[in-house]
Amino acid sequence: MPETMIEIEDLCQSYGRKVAVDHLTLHIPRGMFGLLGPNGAGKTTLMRTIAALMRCQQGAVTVCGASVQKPAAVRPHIGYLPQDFALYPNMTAEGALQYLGLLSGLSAACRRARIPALLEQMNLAEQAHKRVRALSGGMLRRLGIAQALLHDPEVLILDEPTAGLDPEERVRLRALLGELAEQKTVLLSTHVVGDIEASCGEVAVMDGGRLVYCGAVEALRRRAQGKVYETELSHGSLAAFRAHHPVTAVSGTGKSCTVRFLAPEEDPCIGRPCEPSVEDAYLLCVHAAGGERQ
Amino acid sequence: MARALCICRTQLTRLCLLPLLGAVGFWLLIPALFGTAMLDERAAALVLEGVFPLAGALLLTPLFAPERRPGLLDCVAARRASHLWVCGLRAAAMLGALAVLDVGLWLFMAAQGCAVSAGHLAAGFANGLALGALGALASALSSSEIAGALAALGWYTMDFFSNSCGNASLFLLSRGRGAPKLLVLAAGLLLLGSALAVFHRRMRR
Amino acid sequence: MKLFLTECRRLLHSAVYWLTLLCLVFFLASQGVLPDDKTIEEPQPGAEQSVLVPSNDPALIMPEAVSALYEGFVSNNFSTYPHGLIKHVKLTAAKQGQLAQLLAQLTGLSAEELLAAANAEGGQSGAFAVGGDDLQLNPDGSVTITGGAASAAAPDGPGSAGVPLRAGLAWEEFTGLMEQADRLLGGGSDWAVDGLSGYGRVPATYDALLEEYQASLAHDRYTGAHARLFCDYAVCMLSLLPAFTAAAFFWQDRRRIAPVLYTRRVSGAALICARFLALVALQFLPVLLLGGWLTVHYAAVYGAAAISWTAFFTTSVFWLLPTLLLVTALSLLVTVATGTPAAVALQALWWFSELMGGTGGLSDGSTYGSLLAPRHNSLGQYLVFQQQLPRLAGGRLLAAVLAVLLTAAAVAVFERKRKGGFSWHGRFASAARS
Repeated sequence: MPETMIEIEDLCQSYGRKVAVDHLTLHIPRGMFGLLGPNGAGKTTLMRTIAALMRCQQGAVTVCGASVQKPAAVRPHIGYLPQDFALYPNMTAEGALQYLGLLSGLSAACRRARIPALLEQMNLAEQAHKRVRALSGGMLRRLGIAQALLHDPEVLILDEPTAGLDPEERVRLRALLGELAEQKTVLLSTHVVGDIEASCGEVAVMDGGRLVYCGAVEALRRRAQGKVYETELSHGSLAAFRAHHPVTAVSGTGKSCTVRFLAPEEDPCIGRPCEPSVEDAYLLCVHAAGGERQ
Repeated sequence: MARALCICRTQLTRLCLLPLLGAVGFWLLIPALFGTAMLDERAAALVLEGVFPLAGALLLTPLFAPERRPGLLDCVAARRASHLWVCGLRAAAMLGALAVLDVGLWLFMAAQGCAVSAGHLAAGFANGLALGALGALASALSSSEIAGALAALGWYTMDFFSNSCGNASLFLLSRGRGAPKLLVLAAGLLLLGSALAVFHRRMRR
Repeated sequence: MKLFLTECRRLLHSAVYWLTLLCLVFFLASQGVLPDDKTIEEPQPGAEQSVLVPSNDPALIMPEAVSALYEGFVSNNFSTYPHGLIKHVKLTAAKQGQLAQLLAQLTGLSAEELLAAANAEGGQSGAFAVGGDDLQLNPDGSVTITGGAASAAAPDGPGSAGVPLRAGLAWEEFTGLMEQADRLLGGGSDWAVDGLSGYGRVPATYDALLEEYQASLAHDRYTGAHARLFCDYAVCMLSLLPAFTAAAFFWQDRRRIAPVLYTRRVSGAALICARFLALVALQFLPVLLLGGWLTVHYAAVYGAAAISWTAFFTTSVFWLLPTLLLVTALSLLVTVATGTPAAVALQALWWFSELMGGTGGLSDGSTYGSLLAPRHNSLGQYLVFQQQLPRLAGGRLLAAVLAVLLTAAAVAVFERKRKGGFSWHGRFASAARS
């Protein structure tokens, strides 16, 4: 089994005149890998391409050595959780997994063994006979992960798996994904930096279809060293301040607030430098990429 | 083979249950509403060729409806089994149901003394396939089952009122023309294949 | 107004809307009414022989009706329309015996004779005939047969292939026996009392045709007649197609979108009415445009001064608009209530019964009493139209009133769903959770 599980070489994807992925080259190793970017960055397009749900218009993508131009060769290796995941509303949770297991080529005996274990692992054992439409958002997400794991794939492709979950659910899901990443490659796409910070060692940042950073999460954070500042401002002057400095956080109540902002080019001469977070570094990355585009 | 049968069973009992029930309900209504006792050839053709095929439209037009939601379609399409193959199995299951209903009605009418022949049996199936396949193609092109139903009913109505389709007419037997329904059957198979191809292509754009 | 215009703009982006429009135009063109290739001309002497009109004369109706009933009895094959759909009826031996008894009372022959004649090959040997001279119209309106039952079979004319009428058969007794025959056949037959006018048709006289032509000229002014025929065909499609457009339009508000809609400030009445009016307006506008084009065409054919410039518009509003309102309102209600496109299936079934239905009215195929699709399947016939106008107007008014009531019901359902009630999915979900 190759160490690099997913190889993407000079991939270009577009919808008509809109370029969704622009000459992207990326090598995703085993373990948990984060894909970060704002909405419209091209993350979902990239994930659907890797999952062989979209034709490669230009470039090459291989998953576990199999080219996505041959979807039949790729599908046994991947488990995919789409962004707007849905299942047949009238089926029960167990019934839906049975059907999807059948479509994944699992034998009846295998399904009989795996499905109860998966439901147990996802804490859905009690909901096994509930209809899909009756499940809560968190339960549905966990069921989505269960269906992605059904055929024990080497690669899990999860498109915004924590979207719509409450903080407790999110923490639980991150822990679960962390356990899975010990044995598999988990490609996790999100625009919530906290998910990346909590679970991933490596991350790629996309913006406008391009790769603007690829490497360790810690290295990303260090790139923002010396470029993040904090200052106190009155609420009235906040709007004018935003016009000149990219603001990453505002906190505090009352007449004044604490503003955290980026100074990528030079010393802003106001405020005090502070230790950057991954979110600061991500925003710095995206801000720089946006400046380049302009 | 076993897997294919299992998938077909799920299609019929879960995913396509509503259209199947609708077709069966319609099939049960036919003898009650139209009278199927001791009909001559043309009158029997009106039932088997003119009325029954609407069951085909009911069965095949919503062929792609179960996976209309993008998230659900992606989830199913990412499985090892090709979604095109699954849709093909679904179509086969629906055609199987159509054939069973056709044979059932034909046998019932024969038992009631109608002058039915093999031609009537074939006509019912061919028309049902053709109408349903057109509905499926229209629904694949427009992503709307309503547009599919409109296309199927539109063809039916145009042919009913205008009698200008020659040997491709849906109503050959009931108009007293004994030409075989090969053209209609061929058109139906072509339309069904096209529907599957269009849906698959749009899915894998 | 703004909401109405917004909904109109949304509807213009609907593929189903344009498809239905295409179907309508294509259908009208295929039926030869865009424009009509026939023109209205003054009748010439000799033309009356080709036109048959109802005589309403018992002396003519009775022998023809009995003759037709006998023919059906011999072949044991009847076409009836009990539910509006054509049904072929074959009687069992017991019911054939009962029909034989009825025919015996109508003809004066014995039931055994009639059954024997029916069982004989083709029933030819049982043919009897009665000539018109044997019938005498009494002062009280009844008809008496003065001749004997047996006479030589005449090859042509009414009743020539059938059986004699019983001497002294009165009209009231005749209609009572016909009604029994109709019940025996399951109802909806040509021997129902209101279907008997299809018998006893006689060739029109030249004077009658001329009177018809002059009345048509004076009142229809050519375009009125063409407008009626146009509406006759257009209503076939307008009684079905709007269901597709309305169902597709409202079905967009499925479960995911509905909560977003429900939380808006707009009232259910305003939203539903705006959409309803948008659907009606955009589907009626093409009809008016076609009417305008046809008016200009017929102005060129007959002369601008000879035609009525408003006939197409007024006839379309009177004839087609209530159908459009009714179909749209019904589809709207079913789609809002169920959240499914079941309205299409429901409307298709209703439309199919109209399509396959019997005349239920005049023998030229016109059906003025229909709630959904009244028909006037001939060019001209102004006097007949005038005669049936009250029936037609009543039906159109009822259709329009029903449309309003159905729309009001749709508003009520929408508001109820908005408040969390009347949700089938919700009920299943809560039952599953408990």
